[in-house]
Amino acid sequence: MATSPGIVTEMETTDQPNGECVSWNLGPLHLSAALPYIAQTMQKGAAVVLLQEVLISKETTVKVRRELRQMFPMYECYMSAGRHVDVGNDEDDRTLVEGTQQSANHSSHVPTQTSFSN
Amino acid sequence: MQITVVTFLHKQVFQTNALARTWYNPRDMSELQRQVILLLRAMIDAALTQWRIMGGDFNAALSRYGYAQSTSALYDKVDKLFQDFVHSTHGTLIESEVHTLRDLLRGSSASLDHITTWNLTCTNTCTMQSSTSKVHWVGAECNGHASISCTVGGDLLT
Repeated sequence: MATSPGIVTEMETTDQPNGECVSWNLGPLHLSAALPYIAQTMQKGAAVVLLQEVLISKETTVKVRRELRQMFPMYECYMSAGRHVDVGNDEDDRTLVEGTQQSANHSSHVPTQTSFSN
Repeated sequence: MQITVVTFLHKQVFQTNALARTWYNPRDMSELQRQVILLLRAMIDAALTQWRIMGGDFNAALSRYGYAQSTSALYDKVDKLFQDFVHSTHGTLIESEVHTLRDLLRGSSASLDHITTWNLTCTNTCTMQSSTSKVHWVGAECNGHASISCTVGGDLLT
């Protein structure tokens, strides 16, 4: 868990995958507020974790993905950004490690898809 | 703020040189769904025997409760389109054991979150019955959706 702004620590996860596939629409929580719940999910060692409506600050996709990879080193992390949403004051944009719960337009569609192939 | 989708793949299960392709195309609900299904169908047709897992909130339900009558035609359409897509591509839609979306103010609920597989076994080897996704109401009070989980492909993902 992140302990102070700018410091990302590795989350404890089981090394052995449990064979499960997990999917969760996290709306309308900001990622920083959802992170403890994500960590609880990741600790179980699912093989695949699919998260939707993950709310992050504008133009921080690369940084957040890097932080998530550091937090969950047993996982490869892919992140795809959809459209911007207005949740009020964007000056409140926070980094992953210093945010608090935000409200969002819960009805927003995320017309974003990521597919993988080897 | 920006809405994202995040995918985590366990490194002991998946090769890490995966190719990730992302697209974004804003449209209205039914048109968006039609476009998504067209693209997915093309991908599946291009490699019919490939193992596939698709999971997420598809805004298409297997069952709904408490929705306004005025919306039933639209929802019937999107629900049927999604179910027809899975059926016609020989996918296996792993149903959730209970509804995964709830709106306490409106008193409505639906099963919008699904895990679908292609060419993977989704049968409980003990009971020989089709698997269902477990539904977990975890997270904050404001979370509208439950998380779902299931095992696919037997021991394939361990």
